[in-house]
Amino acid sequence: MNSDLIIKNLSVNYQTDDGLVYALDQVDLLIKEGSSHGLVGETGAGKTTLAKSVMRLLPERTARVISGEVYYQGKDLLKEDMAAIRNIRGEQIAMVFQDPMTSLNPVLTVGEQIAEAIEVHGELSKSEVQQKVGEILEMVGIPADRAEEYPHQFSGGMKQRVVIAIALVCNPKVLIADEPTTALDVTIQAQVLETIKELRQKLNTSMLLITHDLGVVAQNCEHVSVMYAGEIVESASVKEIFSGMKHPYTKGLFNSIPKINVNVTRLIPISGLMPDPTQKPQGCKFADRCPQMMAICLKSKPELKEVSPEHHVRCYLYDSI
Amino acid sequence: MSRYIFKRSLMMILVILGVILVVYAIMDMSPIDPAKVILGDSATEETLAELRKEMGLDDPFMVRYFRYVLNLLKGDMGVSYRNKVSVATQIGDRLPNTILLASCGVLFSLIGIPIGVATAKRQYSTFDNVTMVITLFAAAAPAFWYGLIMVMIFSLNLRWFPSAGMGKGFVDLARSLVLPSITIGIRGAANNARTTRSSMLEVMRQDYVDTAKAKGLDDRIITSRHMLRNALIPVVTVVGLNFGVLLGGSVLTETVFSWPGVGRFVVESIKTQDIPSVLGCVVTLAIMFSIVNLLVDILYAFIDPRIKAQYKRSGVTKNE
Repeated sequence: MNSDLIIKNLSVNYQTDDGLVYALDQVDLLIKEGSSHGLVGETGAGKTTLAKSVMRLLPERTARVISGEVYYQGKDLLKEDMAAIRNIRGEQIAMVFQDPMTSLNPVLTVGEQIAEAIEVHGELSKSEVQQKVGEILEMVGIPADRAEEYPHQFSGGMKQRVVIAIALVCNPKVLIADEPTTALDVTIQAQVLETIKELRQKLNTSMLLITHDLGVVAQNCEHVSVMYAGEIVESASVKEIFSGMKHPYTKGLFNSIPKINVNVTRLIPISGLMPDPTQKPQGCKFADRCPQMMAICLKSKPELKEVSPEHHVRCYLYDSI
Repeated sequence: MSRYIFKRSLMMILVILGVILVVYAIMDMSPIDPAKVILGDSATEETLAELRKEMGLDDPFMVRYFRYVLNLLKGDMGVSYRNKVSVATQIGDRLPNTILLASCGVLFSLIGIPIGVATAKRQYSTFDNVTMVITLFAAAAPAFWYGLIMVMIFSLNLRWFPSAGMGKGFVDLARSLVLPSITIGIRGAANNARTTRSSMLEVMRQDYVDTAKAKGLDDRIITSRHMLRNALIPVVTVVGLNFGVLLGGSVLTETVFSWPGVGRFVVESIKTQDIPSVLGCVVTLAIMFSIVNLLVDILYAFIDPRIKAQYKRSGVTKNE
């Protein structure tokens, strides 16, 4: 069966003391089987909410899915019951979390935590489970005999490798990596990403890579979607984004990272802040910060339009195309 | 680990010596004259002086203190002024009863843990709110009040359990344990429920719970393996402290239920100005409290491997 992950028209709100927070606004996303899709955006853009919606990990009391579907193998994950979701979690779709320091249980050995993921999805004998734990540890570059150790005996990068091992031990079809390297220092970042890449190639796993680092996307993804204030504002292949980005926000993002071949003394940040997530502006959410803002941008919201096959942008500047 | 225990035991001995010193000094400063307590008000000044000399009461304070400690090491706590029976024997007869009652009370108080888990899982529900109000009342009311109310309902009206004393034989003993155990355990149960609830709420927000969910684990396994084991650390502290307090502090409950334990013995001894008995009781309870504390600290190591590693480190740096 086709293992594309299709997110359609997904809107999610949080009910907080400050009012309704519009976290996701009609998000569409397609992650093709075996492919790698980057999701880029500032903190608070709704990237993690998107990931948690797919895994059905949104906080039950505050989060509400207002509309939308998440299709996987012909099923709408948002409508499945928890028993079915538990079968999908880990075995079909797995997730790597942002902070390896807190995403492992401090009172269980790393071996136990990996074994758990195997045991819940299959009937294997104890020795088979142990063997599998050893194999996956070796695959992520940790000696198998360290399975007996507790998380506090590992460094941050090693912990993230353990988290990756947990996520990939059941050969999932889709991996959602939520800023897997943000909490790690740069040299370790590269190693961890390399590990993910190798394993994905071996297991033919597709990936949704959430990050705010465009360099990471360039190296690891084929497609990229740029998210701003709960919306996808531009979506294209990595090649096309880097050669012909359209949306003013995407351009702003690229300008705020240093380029090695251009001699600039100062980076150009995007002025202003993301709009208040409890307010829903009538027009384009980026209008306030946009250097190319037009009258229409404040009046109505632009739709996501195709500028070339597989390249979509949500901006009135490209309305005529 | 064993080094850590050894080190802690040494410290415990120092603490107990300190406790004895303080209690001995307080007793020494009291206006009670042991010779008068033994011989009565009618004794002459000469016979009193003679007895004081015979008992070594005229010796300097530190001499008497070390004599007491040395005797204590031999298991000798002196002789009761009241009935001339060895204090150690009298405490030895009563201590098992107190330990039994305190243990049953602590066992009863453990029902607070599942209650705390259940309320945390349903935070802000009606069940949670009602339970928390009840536990607040339960923790606030004094133990002897529960004792009296329960005697009224379950002994005098319903006649299910005896109202006082300690039964002989397993069935009678168990029946006589029910009301006093609940009486001394109920406040602990309420505190355990509240501690477990807040600790669980803290743990439920941790990222590793999301990791566990993302593996596809069952909710029950996540609760027991991932949440409860982490949430239990502060609860163990509360239970341990409570056990220590119950070992020495069930004076009121033992009095209400005429339970032949150390608590009641202390009260009787104070009333009769029986200094060696009071001293013996306080020392015994201090030792018990220290041992329970040590056991709690050791228990931590089995719950949390990080603490175990810490113990190992502290043992090594100190002794090498």
